[in-house]
Amino acid sequence: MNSADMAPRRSWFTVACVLSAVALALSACTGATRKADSATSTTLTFGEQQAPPSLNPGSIDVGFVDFTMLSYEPLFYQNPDGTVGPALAESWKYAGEGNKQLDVVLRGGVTFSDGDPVDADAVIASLEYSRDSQGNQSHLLAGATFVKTGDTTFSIKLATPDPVLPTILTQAYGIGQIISPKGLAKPADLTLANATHGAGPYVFDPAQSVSGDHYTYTANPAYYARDRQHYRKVVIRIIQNQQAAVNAAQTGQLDVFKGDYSFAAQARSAGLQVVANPAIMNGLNLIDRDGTIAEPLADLRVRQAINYAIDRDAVTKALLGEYGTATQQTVVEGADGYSAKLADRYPYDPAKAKQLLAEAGYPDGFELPVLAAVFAGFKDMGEAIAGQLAQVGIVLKVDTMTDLPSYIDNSTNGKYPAVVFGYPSYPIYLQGKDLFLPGSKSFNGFGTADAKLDALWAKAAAAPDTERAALDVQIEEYLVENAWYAPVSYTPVMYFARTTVSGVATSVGAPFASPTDWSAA
Amino acid sequence: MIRIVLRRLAVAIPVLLLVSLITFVLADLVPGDAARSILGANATDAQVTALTEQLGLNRPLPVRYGSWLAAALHGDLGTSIFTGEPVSRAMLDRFPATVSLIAGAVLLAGLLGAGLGIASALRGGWLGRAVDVIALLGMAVPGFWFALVLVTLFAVRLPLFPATGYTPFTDSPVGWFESLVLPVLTLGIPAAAPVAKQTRDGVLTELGRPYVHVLRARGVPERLVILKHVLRNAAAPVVTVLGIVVVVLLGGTVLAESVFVVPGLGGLAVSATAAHDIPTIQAIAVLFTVIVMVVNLLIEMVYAMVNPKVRT
Repeated sequence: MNSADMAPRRSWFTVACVLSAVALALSACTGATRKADSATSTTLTFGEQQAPPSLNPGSIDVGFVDFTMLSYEPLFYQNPDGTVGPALAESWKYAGEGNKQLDVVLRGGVTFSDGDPVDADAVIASLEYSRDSQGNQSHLLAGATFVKTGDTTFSIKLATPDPVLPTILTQAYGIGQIISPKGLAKPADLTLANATHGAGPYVFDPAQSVSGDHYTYTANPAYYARDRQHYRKVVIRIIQNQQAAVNAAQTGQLDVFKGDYSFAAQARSAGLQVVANPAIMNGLNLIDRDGTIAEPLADLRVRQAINYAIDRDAVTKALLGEYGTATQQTVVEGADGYSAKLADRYPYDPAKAKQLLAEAGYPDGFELPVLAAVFAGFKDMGEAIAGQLAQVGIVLKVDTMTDLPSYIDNSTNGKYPAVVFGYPSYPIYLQGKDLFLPGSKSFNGFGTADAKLDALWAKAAAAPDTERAALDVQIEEYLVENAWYAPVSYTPVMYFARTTVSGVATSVGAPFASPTDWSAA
Repeated sequence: MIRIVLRRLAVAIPVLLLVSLITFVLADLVPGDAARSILGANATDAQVTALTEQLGLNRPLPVRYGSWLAAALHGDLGTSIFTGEPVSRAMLDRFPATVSLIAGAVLLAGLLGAGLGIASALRGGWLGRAVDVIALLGMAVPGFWFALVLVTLFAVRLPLFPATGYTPFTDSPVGWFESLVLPVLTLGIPAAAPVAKQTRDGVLTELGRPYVHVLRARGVPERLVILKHVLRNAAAPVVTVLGIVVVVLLGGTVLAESVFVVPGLGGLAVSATAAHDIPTIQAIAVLFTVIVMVVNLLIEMVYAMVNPKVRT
């Protein structure tokens, strides 16, 4: 090969090298000037895993209230410690006995971001809309009527007692977030394509938002409590990939994100605050308590045997590490209804479990179809419980759904006698409505009715606070003694926050943090 | 050339109709329903039924497809069942990011792949073997892992580029470039591997053909032999590979969009499928089909330009 042959080859190689060098240099030049996008006190950026279908607080799922509470001021405000304080309502009290009427005094001189005044007429219209909107929290206001007693005063009259109505009308529940008359004039427009119509600290800006990716809110100049308006702009980014969220927080692109406990160690080593509180009870919901399709479950001894056969500490440690809390109750320690004397009602005792099974006529165990799902850790929990129960002869046939609609359908269609489930540590009153009363179909798929339990719940609902605490404990004890469930662990809801943000806090009473509480450190 | 375009256009309409019909049927078969996705876990069956009727999802599938098709033929892609937004707006919001990603990745794959392929073919030896190894690695290394390595090195340890996000070009051209570097490297480097391999093989094949020896014997300068003849003839299969790269990247962007949190069409397709949002799924399927058809048309045109025999 002569030098003439080599010349063009060398040229090509040189060109390739030069192109590569230019590309690298260009990257280096632009990158060298880059600084971390650390958030300042003017902007809060936080991450959520799922995008909301709308910004209509009257109908939105409770899982999306972070998106609406920024714009829609609630009637009452749930503080990070779980107590209820004023918001649009300045003061309130139950009238008479029985928790059936709440008299409310509104704050005066407040306006919505669209200019409408916040008065009794506007608030009543919003509550009526939420009651009738067919949203998944609407049932909590079913039968309620609203009577105006003055320009800024009104009464909420309930068909049945509700001792936690102020809690239900806080920012933690969409139905308590008040929509202006202009917004209610065309509820179909309360979408992600339009500005919001609330009296909250921020206003949604659709022009700076991309549905499913990021949602931008700017400060509401008409907000009545400027000292609680901590940022000029708030951006919610949808980041499903948790590793990406950690990377974004580490490099200053995110200030706070709600995450998974499996990333806690990494987040901590990256210098992020880790805020966690036991919030979601996971375990086995023994929904066929009358033995409609799984006869053994009708026997209390069998349900108790299942509870004895699960080594909760081992399962919790294996699945959740240091962030899990083993439990035998539907409420976490410190919450209303928690019973200290039942903290260890079902110690891990396979021998006792076998004895109870034998007494019930199932000495060799039995087969039990169980519904689970790939999300929320249900699959792992289902497999762990199956492993435990197999040791006493109960063979779980776990069917795992891949999507939420299929999971919900199968929870309620009578095909599965037991379901791996999760339920937040809500007040006992709400647990009755959503978890264990006959009408709570999602978690009581066979509609089990128990007159004694129903009566106890009704009595607690109408009782004053001083008496209700003891009644709530009785309800919880009834559920545990009758082994309606086999609770295993409390999974924490975790927030990871940069040290530049303060106020990210949760508690037993408020397991979900509100972004409206967060401010620059 | 015009005949090629007309022939492709004639095929395009039935293909689009068929794709839209198949997509509609498949999307309908996905377990679950949109109303439940919208209302959430606590909704009652009555609420789900009411919303299903309100959305018109209780109508028979042929009726729903007919309605969608009639509207689409009038340029109305419908409204997202999940968000209530016009589908066209959701698509427009995300189209630039996807196009930027794919264009950047194809450009990188083309330049890097062709450069390496040509260099290795002309120099041979260790460079040729190196291209083989790189091509193998490019196809074998998991994209997810490669993306995480890039983020760790060039966003977390060395804060050169953003770890996540996408900046529109209209907001900041520099920010746009910076936000694309890591995802484009993630997509483009593995895609360069087959291009390099094809280029190397093509150039070597052409270099061995008799006409190259004749040209050299006539005293044609080596530079002209390579540029005017060898590369031109070796280009056609490389263009085909690049076309395949575009098609693969249409699906592959989902990975980069997820790891780098880029608001693109791939992520929209995934979330729309999970939410049973048929209008959005339909629109994306049709758009992707159009893109594939346009790419195929462009490939044929390039083929015709470099190889006159194809025109006949």
